[in-house]
Amino acid sequence: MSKVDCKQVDIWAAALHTGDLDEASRLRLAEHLDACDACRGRTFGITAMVELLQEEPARLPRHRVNAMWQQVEAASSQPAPARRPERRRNLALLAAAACAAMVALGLAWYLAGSDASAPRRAPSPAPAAPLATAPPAAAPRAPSLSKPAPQETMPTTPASRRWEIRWVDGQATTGAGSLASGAVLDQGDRLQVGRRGRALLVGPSEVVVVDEKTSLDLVGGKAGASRVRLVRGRITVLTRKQQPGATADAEHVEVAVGALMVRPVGTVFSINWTGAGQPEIALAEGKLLVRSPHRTVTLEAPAKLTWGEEPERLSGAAGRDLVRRLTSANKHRARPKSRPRAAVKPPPAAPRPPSLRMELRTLEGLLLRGKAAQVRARAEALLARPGAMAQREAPALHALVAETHMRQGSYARARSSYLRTWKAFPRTLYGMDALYSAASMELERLGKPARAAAHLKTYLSSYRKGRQREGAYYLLHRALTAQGKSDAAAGVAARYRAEFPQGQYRVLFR
Amino acid sequence: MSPTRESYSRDPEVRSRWRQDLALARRCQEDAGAREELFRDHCDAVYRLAFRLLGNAQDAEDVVQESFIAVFGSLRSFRGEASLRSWVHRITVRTAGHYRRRSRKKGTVALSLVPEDAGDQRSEDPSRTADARAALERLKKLLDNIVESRRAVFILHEVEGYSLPEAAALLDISVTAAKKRVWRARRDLERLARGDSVLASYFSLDGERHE
Repeated sequence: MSKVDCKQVDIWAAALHTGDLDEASRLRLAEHLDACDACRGRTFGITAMVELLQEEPARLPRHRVNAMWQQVEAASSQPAPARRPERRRNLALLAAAACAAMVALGLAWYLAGSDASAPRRAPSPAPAAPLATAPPAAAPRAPSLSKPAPQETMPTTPASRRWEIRWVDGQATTGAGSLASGAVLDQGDRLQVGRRGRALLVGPSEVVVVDEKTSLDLVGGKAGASRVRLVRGRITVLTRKQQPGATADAEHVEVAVGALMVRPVGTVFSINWTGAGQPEIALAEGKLLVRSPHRTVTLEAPAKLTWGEEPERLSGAAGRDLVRRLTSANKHRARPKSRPRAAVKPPPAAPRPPSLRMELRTLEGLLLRGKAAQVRARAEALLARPGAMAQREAPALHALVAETHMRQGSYARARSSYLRTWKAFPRTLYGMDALYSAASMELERLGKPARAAAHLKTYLSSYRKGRQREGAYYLLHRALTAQGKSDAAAGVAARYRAEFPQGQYRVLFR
Repeated sequence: MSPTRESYSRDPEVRSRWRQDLALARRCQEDAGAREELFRDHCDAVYRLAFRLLGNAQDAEDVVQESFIAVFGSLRSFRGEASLRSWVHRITVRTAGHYRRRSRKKGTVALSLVPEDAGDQRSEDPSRTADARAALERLKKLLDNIVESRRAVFILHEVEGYSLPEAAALLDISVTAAKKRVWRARRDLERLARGDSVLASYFSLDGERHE
């Protein structure tokens, strides 16, 4: 048996690790390692380093799990309208394919009809124009004016961690260019508001009023938290009131300013920093923890603090003035004189109430942020407007109301609301989906398999091309099985197999 | 036609597990409770995987969130051709890769000004000596310098204990390629560690040094 060379040991050691070394080779390697200190050191060194890595605890802290779940659920369980882009994209693909087919047919006709002896002309690029224009026309709406639309399956930033510019006055920019109302910012972006400008930034659970000559970075916080780094200028932050029992860092914004970290335990505060010297902090409501590596100060409203000095508790008129000024900060529109000279699109002269479509979009955002009750109240008010039921957005608003009940765990109400949506708009996608959702709720949440079965039968008989048809068969099968009607369930399974021979539930129906 | 699940295994136990996975995935599309069950069942493993791949808790938490958002967004495409666990882990590995490339492009956010919460539960084992912690930090930096493709398979196989076929499947590469990359990663790591004043001692055999 030949001896192992030192040069071979690396290869053999790796093979040992990958399980590719037979018994005899393993013995030879062991012999060599026993005899050769250098090789033994090298092999064991890597093993020791791997062990060092393995020893590091990698366990998700228990207290983070709930906050993370809420974030994930909020971002992933989109309400029904969010599914529309998929359909639109399919339509776009269909349109593009149709255009391509037309172009190909035209080209074939042209080539076949032309004289073979005549010189061939290159096909005109004009017919291709619809190809270039079709996708944008049917593409899903772009949520951002500054960023490309995120992918559906692999978002670059969780939706719940994005910030939206609700309104902007004057010049507001990021590295990508100037911003307009409705623009969406991601973590890592820097927002700069110019002279005489102002912007309202809406985050996952907070509102930040950014004053003129202010620059801030949006950086990632811990799970559930957002973090703003104030580079210079002045911001006023309004955060949601904390629920009893919530951890201090859950779903709240943190502001880093210089070496200080400001964390709200309450609701409204402002920070002013020129970029040099000490930051000034004013607190109108709740509590603030202001922390540097060396010192922690807790402020209770109403109070002011210039870092390095003692906190000043405000009372009487000064306190009331501060509270009034800060709590209404986000209600002020910008000064009328602050219109920029050019390049920025001026807002309409007479403010009109936002369209139903805009309202719907806002409500969808609010629902994602967990404001179910508020969304429901606003949606119902919108539906009560004269003529609202005749508008295109009415079914979506109806479905949104049902969704709010579901988010709050009121499944019976959600079911009734879904059924109302179906009855009001039976020939729309929302109506169709609402019937399915109601049946699903009856089966999964309310323990009413008989009703669920009745509704699912209606769904299957009424909507021959329903997009939840496969799911409806599956639920109907379950509902019938739950009632002990195994024969009927077998019949449903047979119908399913006949209609969807390659369907996703075929294994379950075996 | 895409292969059906039956073509992969005839083992009734495996088939039964896949059936349960598929049913869970279907339920998750409609039921928030099922999604939560899936999240809670897998979040620890996903976090651990992301943590090993990225090397810090903050990024790992972000990747856990992004991964589960991607998982819930793609449930319709889960056909039960692998276990749900493998499928989720595969998405995690891919998300971690995206995240890593993105962070590198954007530049790391300096968090030195932002001290961690004193009450943070993510504290290390107090028994670990300062030396071991320092060595660990250096080791992580060295790992950052290894080519991404080698690093990932090294961590999955050597540190996390995935078998080579599993690691190869997670990374969409062949088993042979995975073997080569593991070997090259070991070689790179040794070369880099020998140039480090602290980690070089791991290759000497003079007594107890790594505790």
